[in-house]
Amino acid sequence: MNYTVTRKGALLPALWLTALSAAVGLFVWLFFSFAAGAIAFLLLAALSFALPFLHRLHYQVRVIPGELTADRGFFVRVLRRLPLRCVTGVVCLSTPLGRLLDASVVVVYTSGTALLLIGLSLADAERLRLALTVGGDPS
Amino acid sequence: MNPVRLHPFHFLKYIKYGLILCVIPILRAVLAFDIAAAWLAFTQDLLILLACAGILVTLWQASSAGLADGVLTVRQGVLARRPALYRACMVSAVEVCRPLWYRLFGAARVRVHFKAGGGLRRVELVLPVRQARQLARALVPATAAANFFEPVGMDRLIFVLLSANILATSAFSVLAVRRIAKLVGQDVGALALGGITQMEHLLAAFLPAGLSLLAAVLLFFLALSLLASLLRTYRFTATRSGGVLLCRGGLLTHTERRVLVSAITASALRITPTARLLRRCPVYVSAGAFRGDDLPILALGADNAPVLQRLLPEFCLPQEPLCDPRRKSPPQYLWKPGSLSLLLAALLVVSLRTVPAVAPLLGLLLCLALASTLCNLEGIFKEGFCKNANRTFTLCYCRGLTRHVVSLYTNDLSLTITRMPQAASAGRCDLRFHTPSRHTYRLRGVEFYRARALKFNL
Repeated sequence: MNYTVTRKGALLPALWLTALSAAVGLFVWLFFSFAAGAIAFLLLAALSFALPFLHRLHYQVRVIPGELTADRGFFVRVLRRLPLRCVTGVVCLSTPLGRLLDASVVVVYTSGTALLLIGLSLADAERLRLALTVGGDPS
Repeated sequence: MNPVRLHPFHFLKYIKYGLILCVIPILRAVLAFDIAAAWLAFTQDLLILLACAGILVTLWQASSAGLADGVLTVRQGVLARRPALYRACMVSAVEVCRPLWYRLFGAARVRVHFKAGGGLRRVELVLPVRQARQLARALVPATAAANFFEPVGMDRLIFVLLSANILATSAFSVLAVRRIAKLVGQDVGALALGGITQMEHLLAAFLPAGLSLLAAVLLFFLALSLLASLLRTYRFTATRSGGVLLCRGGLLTHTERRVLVSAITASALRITPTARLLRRCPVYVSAGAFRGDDLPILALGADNAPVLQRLLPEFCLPQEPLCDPRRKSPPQYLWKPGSLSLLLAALLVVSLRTVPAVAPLLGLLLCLALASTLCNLEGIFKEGFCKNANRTFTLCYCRGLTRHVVSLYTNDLSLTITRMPQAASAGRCDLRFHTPSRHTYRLRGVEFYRARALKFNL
């Protein structure tokens, strides 16, 4: 079972990061100048908009026998491996913006760490949740 | 164990700010030997103190803790009652701590740590002493057995030296002094500075001016950390009986730890500079949510290594090489300490000409940076992992001045494999092991194909 992030799914974190860039730009504007704030916002927004789309190019979440793997990243590749029997909980979050874009946030908990997956489609998130908790592949 | 009421100290956390508000002015007046002002403050705060006492009594009367049919039940709350149930079979370790002021009032703090797999990691209760011991015995029963580690004489001194944590003790003492000065108004720091100044005058007879102050400060914090370690390891004994590891010790704070050997997830040997000098290294164990990284259970030397294998049957020395040094990247290990060493060396050369008073401090920092560089150089040859025949993992990594050798006994692990662009092209990665006790062990320069091929099953 393979799950990837669609373009709309990548748009969700891109918009969140852009909003954060706007907050940083506002902060810089208040303490320095409008020009500095605008430059800070534009630079951060360009970066934060591009990164999720680059990130999704190699994004792959797989459920293989006994293991969940999540391979992500563009410049720095990160591969997470979790044994299925050690998964203690799965949380699927969908915000109004996420539902509009058909993107969700999935958090997979084990006893020592948690895995955050942003941008999976709502259907994929539900399939992944069932695969991790019930152990079956819903048809 | 029949249900008993929790000790009133358990509920101090709800009224502590009210108490601090009332007690601090009284304490300040008493320390200034102004009894009239102390009495006035007491009468002014009497109503608040009575209200706090009333809250305490109400909460205390509505509380209970009991163990029956393998379930620990804790009831708390007055308006919103909260019975909490914990299964005794999920317990991995129990700690019973009795700080000095708890002992004055017959209280003991019990921390129950749980095994991996659940959302709850630990629960903390304050019970009367007898009931606390009874609960600990009921949750993790241990039969009487001979101590496998009871340091006396030189072994005791070695154990004190190995258990001392200079950085943590120094940071804690500085924060405590500032807190006391803020709350009580007594500048305890001035007393300490007075002592350091006297020591500096003594050392100035043998050392240059800048170095004598530095040496005085270092000796002061070293003495403080050794004192803390001495108090913590007073009459320390470690016993293994019936599958339970039982450690007791402490002068001001009596601590008893009961750890289920079957629930132990990792053991760590820390080869610090002190350990290298003394040829003994401290052994720490963690079990489920119990981290156990503040006090070792054993000081292991080359001559008593079988003791650790008897204690932890799954422990074994690595059966194959942990890494291939030829495939490592030296800059990955040496760039941080090496660049820091170069910077400090340059600053030292400049300071010898311009600001000679700072030179001793820079010299000391340069020595530490060079020591860290050497330790990281050792990491090129030793840092790595292997899976043993008994399906446990052995890891070795270097941080700062310490080499850590960790044995993992659990299959409840998760891995993070990080590849930087240059390392990825060379087939290397950084590998992190995440354990149930929330320890993360990071290994640098591991071969990607080995990390990818790791199997979880034990």
